[in-house]
Amino acid sequence: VTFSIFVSSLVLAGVYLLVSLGWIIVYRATKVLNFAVGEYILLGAVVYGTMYDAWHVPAPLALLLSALVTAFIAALTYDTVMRPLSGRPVFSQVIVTFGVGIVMTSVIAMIWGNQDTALVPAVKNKVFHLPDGAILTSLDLVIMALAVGVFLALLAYLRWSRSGRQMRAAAELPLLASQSGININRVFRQAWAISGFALGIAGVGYAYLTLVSPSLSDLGLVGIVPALIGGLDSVKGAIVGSIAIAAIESYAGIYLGSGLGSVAPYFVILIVLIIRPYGLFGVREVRRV
Amino acid sequence: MLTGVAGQISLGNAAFMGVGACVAGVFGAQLHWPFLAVIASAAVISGIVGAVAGTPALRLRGLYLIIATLALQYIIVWGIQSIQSSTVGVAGWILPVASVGSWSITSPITWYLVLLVFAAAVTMIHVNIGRTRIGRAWSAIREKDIAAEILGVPVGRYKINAFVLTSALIGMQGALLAYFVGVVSYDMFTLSIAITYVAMIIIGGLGSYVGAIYGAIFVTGLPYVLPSVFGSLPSAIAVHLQNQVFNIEGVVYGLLIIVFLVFEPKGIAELTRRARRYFVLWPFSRERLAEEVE
Repeated sequence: VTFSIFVSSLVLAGVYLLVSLGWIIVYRATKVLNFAVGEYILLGAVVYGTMYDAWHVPAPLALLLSALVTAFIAALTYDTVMRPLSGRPVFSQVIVTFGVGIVMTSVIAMIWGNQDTALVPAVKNKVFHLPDGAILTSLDLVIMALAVGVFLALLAYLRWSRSGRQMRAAAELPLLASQSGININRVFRQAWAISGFALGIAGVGYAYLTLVSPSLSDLGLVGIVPALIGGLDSVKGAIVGSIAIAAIESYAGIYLGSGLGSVAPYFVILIVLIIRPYGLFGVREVRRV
Repeated sequence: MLTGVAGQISLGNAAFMGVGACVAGVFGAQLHWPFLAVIASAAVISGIVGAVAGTPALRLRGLYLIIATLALQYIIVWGIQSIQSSTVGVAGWILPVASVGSWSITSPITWYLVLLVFAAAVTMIHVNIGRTRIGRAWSAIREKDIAAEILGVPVGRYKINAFVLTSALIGMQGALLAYFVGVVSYDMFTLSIAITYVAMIIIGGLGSYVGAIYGAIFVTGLPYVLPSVFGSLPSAIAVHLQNQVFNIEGVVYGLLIIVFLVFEPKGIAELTRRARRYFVLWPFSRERLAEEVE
């Protein structure tokens, strides 16, 4: 049984991976935590729901478009809200993202209402049986493949592309980067957009696992846990963190009751924060007086 | 106060209110303790929880502390939920009417006066503590904790102090709320409540006592003002808007947070200060004069 729990937690891990990317990319580039993450996830899911279920846009195209919409809104957030606040205390920057989140939740509720809807499956539901009674559906496989694919693409982009290198430079020292001719506003906006893109896809994936409902945005906060475990600035750490948290959540949910299952990630995060605040793979913060 | 004075950021306020209210539920509703004893014990217990909860702050700063308090919020609410479900069940605790001796607080006006007394007391504590050794130590920690440490301020102890005091005050407030509303249930203490409090502080003005009061009035007043604004609009639009009141409230409220943070980080407190200065200086609105006046 333990193995089958682990296997089924892997799908959740895929979604977490994308969500934690959403946190990490913005944090790496701009040293800000975006607490509106959950709302971007929700936005991705509702936009996809409308396109696919109501307008019958083909699934891959609907996925791409809804991720682009989220990316656009994220970039817009950067330009309208975060950019004027750059250089202000971290606290203001964090709280303002909560403000953005509140506005987005309300606007989404105005347009799409508060009801939960189930998505019509986009792939034929075939069940694969693995040893130890573990099962994976084709939907699970698609979600996992998507998560890994997007993750690898982003990793490659950050590592080898020109703007990826610029993003790392800007994250290192914004002033120096801008002096060497990098348009840091463009780079930061790009970071927000990429984060929004990943979150939009995560939203669609999670909506398939559960429902399209306003409570999807709760996923955003849980998603910071895997990001922290791996280290907030480590893209690779996100893999380990996501798998670990998804597994812990599933095991705790089954062996200790579902109430504790959903709180388990927060216990883990407290422990991690106290022992290794910079995560498993993150860079230790050095302070100067 | 925690945020403004000691520079420690907490998003766990709602959880501490929950602790206070939960204590009120257990002691007041189940064990039938008198009102004042319940309020006092709510403060004490919340303070103890605050001391435990404050320990992560010894190692964490800034963003990491925000996350830690966020995690605490979820854990504490879960704790309250499990206490609640093992004692009274889903409906929550039903509190008796608050009474001191033979005098019971029932009408809204007496409640208002009682709360006013508590609010005044808390504000007095806030204002005065800033002038003591502890208050100065907190300010030092906020400005630069390493420097404070070098100057001989025991940073860890004062951080915990700040946590204990704030949690105790918030817990007391939670117990009062419990009596005022009459029912306590874990789902009353959500993260959005915590954000509401932070929003009050921001809209009012960070680190200013007057600001916190302005902010509280403003944010709690908003739900009452909006419907009457809609009432004055043409009826066709008004009917449509009425259904969306809750959402529009959310938009207004989120936008206010954003607008204040972007354009007026010092909040309403600063706006009134400026307005006052404008009238003092009236025919001459030059900055140079302003400096002379101040």
